[in-house]
Amino acid sequence: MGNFTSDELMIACMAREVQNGDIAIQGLTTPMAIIAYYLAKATHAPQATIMQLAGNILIHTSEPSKISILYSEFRAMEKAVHFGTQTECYETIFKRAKSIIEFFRPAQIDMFGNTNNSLIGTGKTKLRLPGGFGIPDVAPIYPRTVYYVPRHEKRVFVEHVDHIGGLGISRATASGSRREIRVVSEFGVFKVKPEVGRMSLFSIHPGVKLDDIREKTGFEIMIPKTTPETLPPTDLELRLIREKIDPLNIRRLELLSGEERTNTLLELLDRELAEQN
Amino acid sequence: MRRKLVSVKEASEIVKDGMSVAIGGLTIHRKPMSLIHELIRAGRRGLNLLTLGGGPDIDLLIAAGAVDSVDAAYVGFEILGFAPNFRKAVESGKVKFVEHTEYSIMAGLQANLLEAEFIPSKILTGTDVLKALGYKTFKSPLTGELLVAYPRITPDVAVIHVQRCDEYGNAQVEGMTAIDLLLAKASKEVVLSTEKMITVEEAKKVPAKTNLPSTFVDAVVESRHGAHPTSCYPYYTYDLWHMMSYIESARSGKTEEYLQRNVRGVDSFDSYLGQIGEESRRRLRIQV
Repeated sequence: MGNFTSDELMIACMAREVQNGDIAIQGLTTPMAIIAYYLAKATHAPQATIMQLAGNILIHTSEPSKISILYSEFRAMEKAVHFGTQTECYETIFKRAKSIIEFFRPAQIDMFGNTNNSLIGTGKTKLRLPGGFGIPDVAPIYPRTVYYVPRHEKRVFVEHVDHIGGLGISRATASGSRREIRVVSEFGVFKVKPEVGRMSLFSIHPGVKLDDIREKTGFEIMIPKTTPETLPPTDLELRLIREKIDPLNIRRLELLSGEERTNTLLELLDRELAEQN
Repeated sequence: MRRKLVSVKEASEIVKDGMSVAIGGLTIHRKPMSLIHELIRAGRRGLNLLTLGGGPDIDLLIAAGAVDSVDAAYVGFEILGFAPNFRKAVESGKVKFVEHTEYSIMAGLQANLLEAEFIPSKILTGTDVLKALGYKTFKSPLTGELLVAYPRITPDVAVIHVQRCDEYGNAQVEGMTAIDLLLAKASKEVVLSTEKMITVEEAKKVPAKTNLPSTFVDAVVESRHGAHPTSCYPYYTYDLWHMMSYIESARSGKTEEYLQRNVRGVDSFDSYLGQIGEESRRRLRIQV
């Protein structure tokens, strides 16, 4: 890869999914999603509306905002034009579904775009995950359901999810449906369309080989004869991400796990506090 | 309007063993921690908890052995990851977890508020989340479509931490409000802890800010910093450091020590706040 990281490229891809005028909803614990919204708003989608912190705080910004771990609710409220309730967030989703974009991070996703954030394992002992929150409710309602997977691994891209939360698309169930699922991973952008009924590669990120994808995916992804290369982030996009929206590099938390993640988090918190004082 | 100001001990006595308890806030935001500490000190048992998104509230009550079941759409510490005691207790079968979604909880509470037996809806059809919930489906008498019957939810008592409230229970909830207004209205009794007491005269100056009126409130407790280590906008943000050390103590099998040091071994929430350290208190001050 060139002069950008996979998280920056993913954020650029996610931002491109936001259309001018969309209502962009932030769920729980998704720094890359909120960065992508601000990036879209600062570039091609200035008229996007952002509903932050699980969607009940409607904000207005003209300048790209700087994201925060420690003061996320405070930053949202500084820019609030309205704060509602979770019921109202769902009213917005149900009544305006066509204009809504929301990014979800699945623990598992399968070839039909079914996702799981509930339980891992099918035997007697199951790993209990925090839960799907609103994903199972709204995934089938959106015309475009967009998932992002910072670490493209076999344990995420599985043949069948262990527990269906977010409903996918298969040819059998999708008659007449125009719904589409998109997945942005560290390797490429993928789509599940009703007429195909299973996941196919849409664009491959610069420097990634088809074998990387095949090796790290737990099912056979359809690979078209010619696949375009994903457009790299522009200089403007990179500058906005690095200097304006996420100068602390909070986004990298999404790539880490275990002790490395804990240490990075502590370091980020110290830097935020230092700036605050 | 009657005065409803009570002590935290009196408020905690409204919550009895075996009750279904709705908890306000979301994950690591505005959880009624001072009341939760008091329930643990009082040795409550067999509680059936309901919350939209649980965090330290659920985890701590489970750690203390106060819980039979949890109904929630999410239980975790957001950016800090899994809720350690919740996960252990659910995986081992000690605590029953009913995984909801936001919709299944809101629909159940709405059904209650509309005096409906259930809300009929297509949402969640085809998912394993619905199967696990075990909700019944039926054919719509209007269209013949398959619908889910979302049964009404009626918690015995709601426990919610609010930003401001007067002594009659006229409350102002702001920032991430989650489903607190729904929870309060649908519960048989409502106990509020409030970050700040305001006078009814102050409330009268900004009536539009009173989004939870006294008609739905039974008891009010004054509790400054009562949501610690979760946040209470605009007064303080969450104490991620404290929660990280809590998670660490759970992982190394020292939950009991945490409880002894912070909850059971202290006489009040104020004593707990007194010992979380100057460093923590300084960090959480918001200087804007």
